[in-house]
Amino acid sequence: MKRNRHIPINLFGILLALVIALGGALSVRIRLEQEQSRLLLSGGTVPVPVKTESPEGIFVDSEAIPANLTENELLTAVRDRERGKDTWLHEPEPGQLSMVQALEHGRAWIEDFLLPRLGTDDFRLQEYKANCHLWSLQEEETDKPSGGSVSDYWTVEIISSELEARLIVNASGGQILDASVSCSIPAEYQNQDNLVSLLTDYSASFNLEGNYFMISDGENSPEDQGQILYHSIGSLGLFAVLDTGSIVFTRTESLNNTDIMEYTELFHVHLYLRYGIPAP
Amino acid sequence: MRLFTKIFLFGMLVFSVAFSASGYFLLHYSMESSMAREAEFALKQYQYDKFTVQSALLSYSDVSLIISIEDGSLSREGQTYTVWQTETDYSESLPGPDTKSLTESLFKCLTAEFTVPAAFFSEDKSVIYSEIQDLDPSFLDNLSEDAHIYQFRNDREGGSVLVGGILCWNGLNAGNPPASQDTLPARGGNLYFVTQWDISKTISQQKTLQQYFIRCYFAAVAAGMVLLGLLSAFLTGPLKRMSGAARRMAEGYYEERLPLKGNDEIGTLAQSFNRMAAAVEDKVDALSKTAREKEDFVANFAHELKTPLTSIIGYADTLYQKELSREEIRKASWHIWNEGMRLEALSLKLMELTVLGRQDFPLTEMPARELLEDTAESLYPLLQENQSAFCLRAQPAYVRADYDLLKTLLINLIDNAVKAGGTSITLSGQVQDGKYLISVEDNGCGMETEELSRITEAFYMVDKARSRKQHGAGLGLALAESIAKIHGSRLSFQSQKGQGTKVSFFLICTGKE
Repeated sequence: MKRNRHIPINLFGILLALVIALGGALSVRIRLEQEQSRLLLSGGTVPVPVKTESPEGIFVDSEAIPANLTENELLTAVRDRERGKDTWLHEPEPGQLSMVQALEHGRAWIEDFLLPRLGTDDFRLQEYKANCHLWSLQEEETDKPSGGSVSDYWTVEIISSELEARLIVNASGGQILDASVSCSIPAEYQNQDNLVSLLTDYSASFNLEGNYFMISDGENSPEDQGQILYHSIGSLGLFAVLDTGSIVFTRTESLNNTDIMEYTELFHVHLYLRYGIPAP
Repeated sequence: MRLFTKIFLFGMLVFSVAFSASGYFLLHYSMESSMAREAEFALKQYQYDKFTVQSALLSYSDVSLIISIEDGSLSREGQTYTVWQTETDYSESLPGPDTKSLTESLFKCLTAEFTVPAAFFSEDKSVIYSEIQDLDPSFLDNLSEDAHIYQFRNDREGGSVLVGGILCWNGLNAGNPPASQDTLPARGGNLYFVTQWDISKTISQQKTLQQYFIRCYFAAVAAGMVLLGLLSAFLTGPLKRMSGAARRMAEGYYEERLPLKGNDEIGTLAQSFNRMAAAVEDKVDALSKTAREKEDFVANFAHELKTPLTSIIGYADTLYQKELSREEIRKASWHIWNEGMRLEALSLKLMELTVLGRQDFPLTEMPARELLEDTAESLYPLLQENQSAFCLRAQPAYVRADYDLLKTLLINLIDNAVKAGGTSITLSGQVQDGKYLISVEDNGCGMETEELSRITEAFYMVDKARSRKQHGAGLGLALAESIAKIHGSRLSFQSQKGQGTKVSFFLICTGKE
C-alpha cells in the first residue's frame, strides 16, 4: 500500500514535467508572435540632409566648377571607388553637388568638353532620358560612411538616340572620374591628335602639378582602331586613361531592286582616372 | 514524491526554461535583425527609386519627355508620340481632359521601372497615383523634409515596409492647373513619394524558423526526458540499494555491505555506510560476546557450585546424623569450611576466567600429593553417594598450581568419570620427564574416537539425554581445558567405547618432596 501510494504522486510529477515542457514551447511561440506583431507596427525615421536649390535647376558650366580637390583627396576618391564593394545611396550633403548640378555639369561636360575634342563642336542634347544617383562606397554592410566625404559620387546616365553616357562625378569637387560614352555622331574619331588632345586636356582639368607623360598601350599604330592611352597626373601614381574603340554596324536596304548598304559607326570612349598602371 | 520524480521534474524544469529562453532570445534576435535589415533594404531601394523619379522629372521638366499614350485620346491607338518640351508647359499644348490621363501615364512610366509598388500623394495627402493597396497616408503625418519615414505593415500578404519621403514636384501642371488636376501641387511644390518593400519572405522565413525551433524543442524534450529518466535512475539506484541494505541491517543482518565503488559523493556515502555497518556488527558481536560470557559464567558457576555443595551437604549430613568423635567432627567441619572458602575464591576466579578471559593467574608451589588427597576427600560424599570405588595413587612432588582452579579441574574430571558410570575411578599422579603427570581413569561408558575432538567445546554433550538427566550442561570439560591452559598444559583423552576413559595432563614439577 505504501509503495502504491507513490504512484499517483509520481505520475503527477511526470505530467507536471510534460506540462512545463509544453508550456515552455507555447510561451516562446506566444511571446514571439507578440514581438512580431509589435515589430510589424513599429516604424521610424531616417534623417536625410536637406539641400535647397532652385526648382528650375542651376545650370553650371563645367568650367565654372572648381577643381578644388587636392591630389591626396583625388587619390582617396579614386582608390575608394576602386576598392569598394557595395554602394550606399544617400541625399547630397551640404557642400556637394545637387542632382540638378550633377546632371547639368555632366551634360555640359559632354557637350562642351568631350564632343568638341572628338570633332563635334555644335552638338546639343535635346531629347534625352536621365538617371542620376548619389552614392558612396560601403565595404561592410553595416558600415555606413558619413556623408560629405570626398568619396561620394554622382552617377549620371544620359541616354539619347545618338549618345549614351555614364559619368561618375565626384560629388564634392565635380571632377569627372569616369566617363563611358558611346555615340554614333559622325565625327573624325580616329584622329590621333584629337584623342591625345582629349586625354591631355582631361588630365589638365584636374589642375595638379607634376610630370606628365603618355603611354600608348598595345601594338596597334595610332591609326588603328582600339587603343589605350595613359597620362600621368601629379606625383602620387594617378593616371588618366583613355580607352577607345568603335563598332561598325551594316544595314542593307532594298530600294527599287537595288541593295543599299548603310553603315553606322558606334564609337566608344572610356575616359577615367585610376591608380597605377597595369603591369605589361 | 520519490527522489527519482523530483530529479526528473527539476531537470525538465531547468531544461525547458533554458531551452525556451535561449530559443526565444535567438529567434527574437533573428527576427529583430531581419526586420532591421529589411528596413535598411527598403530605405536603400527607396532612395534609389527617389533618385530615379527625381531624375525623370528633372529631365522631363527641363528638356523633353517621351510618353506612351495608351488610351488613344490624342491620336491613333497604341502609337508612341514624342512630345517636345522646352520652355513651355506640357499642359498648355494638350487639351484639358487628357491631362489627368497623361499624369497617370507619366507616373505609370516612372513606376514601371521600379521593382516595388509606389504611390504619390499631394501635399494634402490626397492620392495622385498609387499602386499600393489599402494605403493609409496618415503615417506621413509627422514627416519632415529632412527625413525619410518607414513603417512596418502587417497585411494579408505577410508584411511589408512602407517608406515615404518628400520630393520636389517639377511636373505637369505648372501654371494654372485645370480643375480636374486640383490635387496636383504647383510646380516647385512638394509631393509625397511612398514605396512598399515586401517582407513576406522574411516573415515566412521567421515562421518557418519558429516551427523548426518548436520541432527541435520537442525532439530535444523527448530526448531530454529519456536522458533525465536514465540520469535519475542512475542517481537513485545506489540510494535504493543503500535503503535496502539499511532495512536488512535493521532486520538483524549486520553482515550486509554495499558493493558500491567510486570517489563521488555516493561512493563516499557507501563507504561510510559500510564502515558504519562494520562498526555496528563489531559492537553487536562484542555485546553478544559479553552476554555469552556472562551466561557462561552463570552456567559455569552453577556447574562448579554443584560438586562442592554436594561435599558440603554430605559432611553436614554426616555431622547431623552420626555420632562422631571430636577429631571426626573437626575433619568434617574443616572440609565444609574448606569447600566454602574454595567456593568463595572460585566465584571470583571463574568470573575472571570466563568473563574477563584472564589467563595469568599466579601459580604457587604446593605439594601435589596433598592437593590430590584434598580433592579425593572433598569428593568423598559424591563417590559414596554413587558407590564408586576410588583409588588414589600419588607420588610426592612439588608442583606449581592455583589451588582452587586445579581442584576445580580435578573435581570436574572425577565428576565426569562418575557421570560416565565409572564404578572404579583412579586418580594418579607421578613425576614423568621432569613434569608431574596427573591422570583420572574410569571404567565408564567411554566415547567414540571422533567425539574426543569436540568434548572440550562448551555445551557439547556426548549423550545429551544422559547429561540432562544428570543436570549436566556440557561446560565441565571446557572449563577444565581452560584451567589446564592456565597451568601450561592441555587435557589428553584416551577413551574406548564401553571400556572407559583416561584423562591426563601435566603440571610443572618444581621438585620432589
